[in-house]
Amino acid sequence: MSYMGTSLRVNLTTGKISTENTPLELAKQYIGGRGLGSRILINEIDPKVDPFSPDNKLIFVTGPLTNTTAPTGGRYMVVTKSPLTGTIASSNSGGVWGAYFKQAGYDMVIFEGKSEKPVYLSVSEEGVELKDAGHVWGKRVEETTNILSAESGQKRVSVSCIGPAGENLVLFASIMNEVHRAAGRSGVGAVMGSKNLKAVVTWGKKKSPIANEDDFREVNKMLRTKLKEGAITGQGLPALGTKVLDNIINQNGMYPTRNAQDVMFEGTEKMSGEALVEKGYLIRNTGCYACPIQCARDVETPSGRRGEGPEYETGWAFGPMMGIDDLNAICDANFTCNDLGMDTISAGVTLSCMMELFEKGHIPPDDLEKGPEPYFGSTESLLYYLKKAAYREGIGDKLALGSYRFAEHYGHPEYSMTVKKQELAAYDPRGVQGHGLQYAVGNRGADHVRAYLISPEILGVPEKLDPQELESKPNWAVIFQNLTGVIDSAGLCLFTSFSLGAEDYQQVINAATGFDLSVDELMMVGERIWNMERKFNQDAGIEPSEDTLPKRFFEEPAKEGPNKGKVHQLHKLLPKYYELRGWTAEGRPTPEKLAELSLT
Amino acid sequence: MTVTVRLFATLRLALGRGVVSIDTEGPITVRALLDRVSTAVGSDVTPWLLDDEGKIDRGTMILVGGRNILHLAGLETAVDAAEVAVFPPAGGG
Repeated sequence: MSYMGTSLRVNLTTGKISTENTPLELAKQYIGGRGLGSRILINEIDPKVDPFSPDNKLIFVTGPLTNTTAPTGGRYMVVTKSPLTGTIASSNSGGVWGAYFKQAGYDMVIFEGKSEKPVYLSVSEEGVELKDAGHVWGKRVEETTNILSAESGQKRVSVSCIGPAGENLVLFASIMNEVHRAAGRSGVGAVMGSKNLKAVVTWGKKKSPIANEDDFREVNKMLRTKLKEGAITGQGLPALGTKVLDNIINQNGMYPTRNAQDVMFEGTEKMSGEALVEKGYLIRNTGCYACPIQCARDVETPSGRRGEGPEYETGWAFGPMMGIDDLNAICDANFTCNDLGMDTISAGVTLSCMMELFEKGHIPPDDLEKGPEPYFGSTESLLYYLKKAAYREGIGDKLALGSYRFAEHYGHPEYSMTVKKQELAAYDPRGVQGHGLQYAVGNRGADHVRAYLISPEILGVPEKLDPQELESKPNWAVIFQNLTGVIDSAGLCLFTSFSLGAEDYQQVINAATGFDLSVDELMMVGERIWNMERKFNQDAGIEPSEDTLPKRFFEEPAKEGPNKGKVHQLHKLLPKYYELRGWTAEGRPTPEKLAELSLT
Repeated sequence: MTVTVRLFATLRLALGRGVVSIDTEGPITVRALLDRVSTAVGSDVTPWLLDDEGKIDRGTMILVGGRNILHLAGLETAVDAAEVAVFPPAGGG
């Protein structure tokens, strides 16, 4: 039924490794990935646990479609309690790691406790072993990956690891696989570092057992045709990757610029996705396991560095958000940030916050310890302070806490562009009301991949909504949140949703697993996951009053473009959203709703 | 007036140019403007933007002064701004 049926539990305190049956009795209710991993985490930890305590757990979990021929069937999730937000964290990554891990024979690994010394876990069909990682501790992601790959003695091997930032407990540290693929958000890499766990190295050859092979083959054929014929998944993403959005979002007047003081960036042409191609940086297109879209880009910069990316969000965070239009510097910062093991969105938005604070005179020059003055547009500052944050040197020790705590330290938290202490992504809420709503109610703080309402509000998929219209948006947010929960739990990439709908996911999940879930039941899985996360957050002490946006978006109207004069109207959206969710007027899931979803 | 038409994404890469200036003596609709652009670049741009029935394709974005024509009068929208942005279906995130 496309699960391997076996999971690993690794106690890092004692070094004990055990195998256990994957709790498939929960699979119909939570599918796998984000859903199943979160269910297990919530069952096993105190919601008020200190994220860096040995009592917090760290779960690498695949979905039933990971390691199958389902299009994009290679994803995995890392689930834990976030040190950045205090909420549940579940960060998704592509590449090949998820598929290779299942090929070793496992659905999931649960890490608990804390190792006395740095270690890494080797997982293959030959055995599972904790190994000394003293020789790679302190090393960056690429070097770590190369060393541990060589040690495995395998040509076909995948390394998921942290860099110096994770070791140094940078609150927005990422976990990287295949050097450039990131489980990026919410500081999952810092939790890994707190456990003295450097990497998980894996390889294997096992196939995932498919429940209905003939159905599965036919459904996949149909899905691949839809992805190929869909203009975004068949043409736009393969040609330009996510960075095609630079000009789209700028022209729509919602491209947060200079820490979201502005909504359009005058330098977009110089650093856009089109420029990346026209300037000759693009070497070739590439992509993740079993993916027909192939949206990743192999890039070489004029300064001679080569690697993947930058993605749209990254290019924005290191570009317009800091007033930088130098594409070479943006690409360099992307490579450096990945190599240090930090979330590029939070890193960039934390530095842009620093720039605004500095320009407004709130950071004493002495705090810079003779470092470059962080004015907007300073590429020198970008690269310099990224490293300072990763190694927690000088002012970097405060930058490592993310923009909210940094701005709070300097007495002006209002300059932090965060929700629940996690940094916003590359869409200004003043220009897109529904997307702003879903930032505010995000279960892991500000987030663009839990309900990507940019798709209907800006891109016109599956239908075009007016981005300033309010009435329909709470319902769209609920539907997108629920459907995304399903996709994240199945082991597929969210980008498939540009061309696929709920019935497509229903068919492929049922064919692989042998379940007989209806579309309504599947959407209820997504609703269950959303409510479960929400309940955990509230038990952890995250109050509904945190369902809000930085006050800039309410008080400072957009200065130019098609949204000139607009602010975000959360107060008109939130009550309807809570009502549609079946929650109290204060935003708390009711006992009846939790019972309906079998969450009591 | 002169309308600056900015072409983006795969359309711009295919044509090898990103800006076309169109001089008009009177009011012009988006539909007529696209015809003028096709003439100017020597290639019909509408297959990139419209479906087989000549309607705006799902995901195509044509902005007149930053406003999406899907929220105006579609292809019959009168061009009342100095700049028009044209994107074939594209996305990401």
